[in-house]
Amino acid sequence: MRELEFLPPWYHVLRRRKRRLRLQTSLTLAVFSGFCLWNFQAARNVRNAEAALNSLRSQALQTENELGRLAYLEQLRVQWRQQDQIIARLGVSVESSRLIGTLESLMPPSMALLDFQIDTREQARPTEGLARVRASQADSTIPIDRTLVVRMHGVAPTDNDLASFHARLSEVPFFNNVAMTYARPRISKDYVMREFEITLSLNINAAGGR
Amino acid sequence: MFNLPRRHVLPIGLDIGSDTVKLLQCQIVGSGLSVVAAARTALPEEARGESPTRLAVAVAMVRKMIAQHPFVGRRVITCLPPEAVQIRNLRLPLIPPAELPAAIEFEARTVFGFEDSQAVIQFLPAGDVRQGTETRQELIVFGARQIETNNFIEQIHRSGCLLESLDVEPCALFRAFERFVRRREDEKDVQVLVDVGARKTQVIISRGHDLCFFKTIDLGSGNLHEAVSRKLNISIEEARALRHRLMEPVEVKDSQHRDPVRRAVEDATRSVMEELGREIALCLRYYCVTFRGQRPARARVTGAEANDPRLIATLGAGLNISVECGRPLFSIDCGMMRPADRLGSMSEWTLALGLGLKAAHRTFAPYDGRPRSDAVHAPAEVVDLNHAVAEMPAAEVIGA
Repeated sequence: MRELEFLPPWYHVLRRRKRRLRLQTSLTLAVFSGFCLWNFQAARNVRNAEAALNSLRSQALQTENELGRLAYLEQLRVQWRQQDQIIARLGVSVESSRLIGTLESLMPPSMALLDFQIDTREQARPTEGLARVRASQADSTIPIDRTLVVRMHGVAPTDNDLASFHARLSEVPFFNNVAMTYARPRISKDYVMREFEITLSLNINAAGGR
Repeated sequence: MFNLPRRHVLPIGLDIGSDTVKLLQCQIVGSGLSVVAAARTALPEEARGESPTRLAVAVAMVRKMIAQHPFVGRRVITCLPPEAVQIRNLRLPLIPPAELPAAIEFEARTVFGFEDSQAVIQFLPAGDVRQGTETRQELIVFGARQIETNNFIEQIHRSGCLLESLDVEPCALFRAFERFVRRREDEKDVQVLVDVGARKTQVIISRGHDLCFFKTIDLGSGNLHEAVSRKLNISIEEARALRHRLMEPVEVKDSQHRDPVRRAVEDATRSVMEELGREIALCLRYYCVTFRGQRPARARVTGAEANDPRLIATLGAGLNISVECGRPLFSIDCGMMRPADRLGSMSEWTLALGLGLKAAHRTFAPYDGRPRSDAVHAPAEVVDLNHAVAEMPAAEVIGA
């Protein structure tokens, strides 16, 4: 059968245009939605990057503070190392007045010193074999032992006083090698006294020194 | 690799009748047809018949029906209201097919009284007619005013439907049964289709794949209801319900002792049915005299009245040919329809099915027939079917 069609052509045109309009609207909405989504994503990325940047900045600031403190400590360490090296090179400073005061407290009242001599003795530390070679290769400085040698020449009324003084000196922990060089009678203006000489030493090497 | 059945869902066939709205959607599965969804709703009493609000109410109902039923898509094929379409039969001399549309448009403008570009004119070649020594071609010309068509389209469009095509009732009715023309010998068969509507009855006579004759008779089921209403002194609604109840099949024992109500209903409707039969017989007589060849062999009755065995019997007695109830959904899988819609012959779905099938540009079975060659004009002669049928000599009618 021959098919009849009463639908006017404008209806198909209208439908086609509506379809096209719908498609264009959908595409526009899709593009706009995509742009909004992209914009939102970009804004979120910027926010995240800013948060990360702030975090890094705070970390950098903290690191800078720590680095400053580290530099200060390093400076201190260098300073202290230099001081330590100086001390190691020169030895520990012992004040003579304090040493004399200590000796005076140990001496009997009737004892008198005729002579008092303080010498600093430096002596290379003995090393043997391979250790010596290594030490000489690593650093040209050879380890040195420093000793403060104290020599006392005095008179005491009795041997008893002298012995007592010698015993007290031996009890002091930082006095080493307390030794009496000689003790002999001495007559002065009809008085007999005991003339003596005592040597002792103090280790003035620094704790970490060479 | 994958042997999946091909599935092609057709548009929804929308039938806006005078008292009901029907929607039917089919799909092609393989080489067969199956119903996707079907819906039928009666119009409110105030919107029935010639009511001006009928179309607006129907459109609102269509929107709801599509939403409530599992229709696929919103593509719709419907037909122009009968009151919007004017139909004339024209006889033209044999002219080349290419010149035929222009000639018909020129003739139709004077016949229908339409002015330029205010109407849509379509035609169907009915066949060649011998008029004296001259052979002419008879054409069924359909005319619809553009403004009425546009208003109708606008109303349908408001329902949210997308119009795929706009048809006329006779073509859609015939298309529902055209699918049964499969063999070469079927193409020579002359079939009569009688669609009994609420207000009018449409008589379609076809030969093979060609619609040759169409006439509207102003008698319908409404006249039958009114006759019962007058006879039994009951309301139209009650008469409709009563007739519907009496259409149900009865046992032989009961029919022997027919109740007085049934007899009264049959007495009331007999005259209307016989009048309808006479009108259809006149149509057959016109066809037989006008178009020489094979006579009508069978008549199919469709519409809500098709289930009335009394009407079938009366028409059969009046027409002297085999009259049967049309079954448009025969061999279609109707599993998706509601059980209430699957009762009887389902002939009330003819128009909706025919509309839906317009988008199926194929046959559903092996086809070995030949396509109809378009009939191939002098001034046209308008055939007034009413006069022509009435003045037809009875001696020329074979079997009448």
